[in-house]
Amino acid sequence: MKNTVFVTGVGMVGPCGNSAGAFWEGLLSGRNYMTPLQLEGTTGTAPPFAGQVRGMEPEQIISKRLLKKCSRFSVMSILAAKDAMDDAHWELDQMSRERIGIFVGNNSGGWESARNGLRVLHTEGAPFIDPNLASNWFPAAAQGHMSLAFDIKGYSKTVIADRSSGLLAIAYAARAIRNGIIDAAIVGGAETPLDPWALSFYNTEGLLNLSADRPQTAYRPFVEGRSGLALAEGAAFLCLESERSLQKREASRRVRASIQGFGFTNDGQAAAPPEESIAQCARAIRLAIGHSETQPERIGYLSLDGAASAREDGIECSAIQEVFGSSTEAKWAGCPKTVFGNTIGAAGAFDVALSVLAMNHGELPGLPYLAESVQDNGLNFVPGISRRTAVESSLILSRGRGGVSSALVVNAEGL
Amino acid sequence: MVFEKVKAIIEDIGIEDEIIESSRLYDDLALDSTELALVSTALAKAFGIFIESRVLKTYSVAQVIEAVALKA
Repeated sequence: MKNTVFVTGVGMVGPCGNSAGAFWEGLLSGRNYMTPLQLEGTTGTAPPFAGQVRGMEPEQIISKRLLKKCSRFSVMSILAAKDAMDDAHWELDQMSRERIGIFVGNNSGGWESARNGLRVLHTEGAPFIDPNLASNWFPAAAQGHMSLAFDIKGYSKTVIADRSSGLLAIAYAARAIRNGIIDAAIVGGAETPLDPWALSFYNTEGLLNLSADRPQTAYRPFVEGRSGLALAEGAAFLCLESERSLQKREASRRVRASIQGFGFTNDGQAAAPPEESIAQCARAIRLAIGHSETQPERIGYLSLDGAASAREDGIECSAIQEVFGSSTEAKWAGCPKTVFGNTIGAAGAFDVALSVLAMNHGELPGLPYLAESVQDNGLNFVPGISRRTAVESSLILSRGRGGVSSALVVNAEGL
Repeated sequence: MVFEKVKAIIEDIGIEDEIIESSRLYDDLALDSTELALVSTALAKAFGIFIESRVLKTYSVAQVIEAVALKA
């Protein structure tokens, strides 16, 4: 394959664990990672359960000086990126930092910093606002802080597209590598939505489950008992590189997967009729397959967005059935984030990372709640905690507010 | 006393170099623009004086102590 882009490292910081290895092990332990969310001043507007990150040790990786400048999502980004680079065995001193990019998907930036800045503004006055706010509250801050942490200087971008942000960041990085703009990239997404200020915005979309009575019912897309999504914080990053980069550092054995085709569409209207949204979502899937050297039959795993509303779930499932027809039944479907929560701008990155690990391990994460629920679609979801199955190609689907649909095909094959 | 407070303010940024009275905030300790603004805000909170960060950029720790003494 010409200009193939390879995945050589996976890194994560999230509710299931603070490294990709720990996260994968936690995900397959059968435990539910939704924990009570207790934030002041959010009665009735915050989900009762969320996927929360605990036990980070940033001082091990980030200098005190840089740590002082960072919002929480930047810290998670740096830690997850380091985890991915260690997995890929990247020796940055042996690589050209000017030929490495940083691509980050994020939706809401460091809003805990913004909220604190607003509090200081209205209590102590503008001169007392933390000057670091100027460079840590907005979505591109993580990209900047990662650049400072690793001294990476190549072509880089931050993508903001709701729940599609992470997937788009990966796709745009792959395009930049294919086009020869850069040789390698650290790509993924980060989100810290568990803040009263951020939650007040997320709540306006009406997708949050505000009434769950236990963690196991907090996030159940694709079944009749659905009642909205549960949020989570975290960061997931991948190391992508060209064949040239792999050859240069003699690292072909590090290949975990290859990035194939990508499709991105938009409804072009805020609340399109379902049939139009289905058509656009299906178009994104067809574009992704059309730009892949992968036949649709080879795709064995469908990783879904899972907004957990009847409309959004219905659009996803209908679009998949429209594209794959009767062969849909032969594919496994999954939505691993139901165990730990939806990280919004990082969700696509988590989904790609987990799809890569699932193909590498030959084990697909399942929907543990399926046995006690009534499914209202024709997809073949993995039941239980997981299922051992060899899959050579996965399709990852992310959607977003305003009718965004994005799809990416990832293959398990190496060189 | 004032020196210890100013030193603590600079150390809190994460500066690990040795801080002495002759240390210049920009030339010796390499504080960036945001860090100079942080010191400016911290000095305002601690001593009630306001020194603009562009002025602090030219100062040594001794000059900061002198500015605090003049305000007292």
